[in-house]
Amino acid sequence: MAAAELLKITHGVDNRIKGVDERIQGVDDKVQEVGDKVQDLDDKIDQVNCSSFHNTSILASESPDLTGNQLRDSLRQWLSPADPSTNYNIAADAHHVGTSQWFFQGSIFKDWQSAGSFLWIHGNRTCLLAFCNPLLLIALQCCSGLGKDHSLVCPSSTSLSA
Amino acid sequence: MELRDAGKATVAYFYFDFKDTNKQNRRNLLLSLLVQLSARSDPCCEILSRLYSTHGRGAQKPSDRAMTDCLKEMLTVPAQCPTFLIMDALDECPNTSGIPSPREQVLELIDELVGICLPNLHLCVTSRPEFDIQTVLERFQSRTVSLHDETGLKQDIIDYVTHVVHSDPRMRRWREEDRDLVIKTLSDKAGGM
Repeated sequence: MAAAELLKITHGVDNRIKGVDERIQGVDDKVQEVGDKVQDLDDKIDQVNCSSFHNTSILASESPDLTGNQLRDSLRQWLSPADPSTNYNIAADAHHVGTSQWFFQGSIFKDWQSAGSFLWIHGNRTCLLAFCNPLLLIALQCCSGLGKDHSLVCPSSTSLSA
Repeated sequence: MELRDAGKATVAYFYFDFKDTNKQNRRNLLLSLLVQLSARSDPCCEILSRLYSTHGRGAQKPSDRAMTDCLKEMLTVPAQCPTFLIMDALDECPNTSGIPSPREQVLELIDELVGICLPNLHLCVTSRPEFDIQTVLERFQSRTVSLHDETGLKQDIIDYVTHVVHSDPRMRRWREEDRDLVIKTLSDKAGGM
């Protein structure tokens, strides 16, 4: 008798566990639905961002009163940055021809130039003065095979030809 | 990939300068880099022009945060060619006042830029090996050149001193042993100055 009752209770518990299982499955499905909806929303935000980017691009490039150069002038006037070419020119004038070649021909520079990375060059004041920084820019230009007309950003008319 | 294969690269640079208060902090650096990059790249110019638009078409100035985000966006443009950023004489950015100090702010920016691991970004910093700079930059475990230990640089100094001593009209009149003494002394001491 006791055994039959125990079996009945066990069976009842079993059924309830199944019920709980089904409910968990239901919750699972709903979480999945919410996930899908968030993904949809994410995609839509991306689309909106993308179209606003294009709209701005069109505004920037097709605005009748602002050509590319005028836009750049406006941006420059707005931010009014300090001109680093003055320091560049001082360093370039102090440069002694032939120095720092050991660096530009060495593996550290070549590795840094070919692989995206960080490079720290340190030394005392004399070493830094003797190590001519403008050469870094010149070497980049030479090694990259760039034409004279573009790609090296110089705020003034600084000549970078070695 | 070699640069010549890519055909195009952008270089922007900044000199910290203890003689010029406009070249001593993160804001000065960001202003300069953004304008330089946008001058050479159409996508970068578009990104900066959006910042301009969202600041009342230039009526308000952007915050350092907004400019940092703008710079990061420029560096992550999908078709962005290799970008070389060169920051010279970081030790001339002061670390004496402010919490965080101007130099700490620049180091934070460098940390943030290096942290996003952009394959197209080539960042070079030169400075004296001051403790606070060293502490941050050595964490990156990247390429480091210690000029003090470079025999190439010592030879450069000897060559330069020799050249000056032999080409300066006054020094050319000195006795040969005096000139040699000057060359030897200056070359020997240069590394420790």
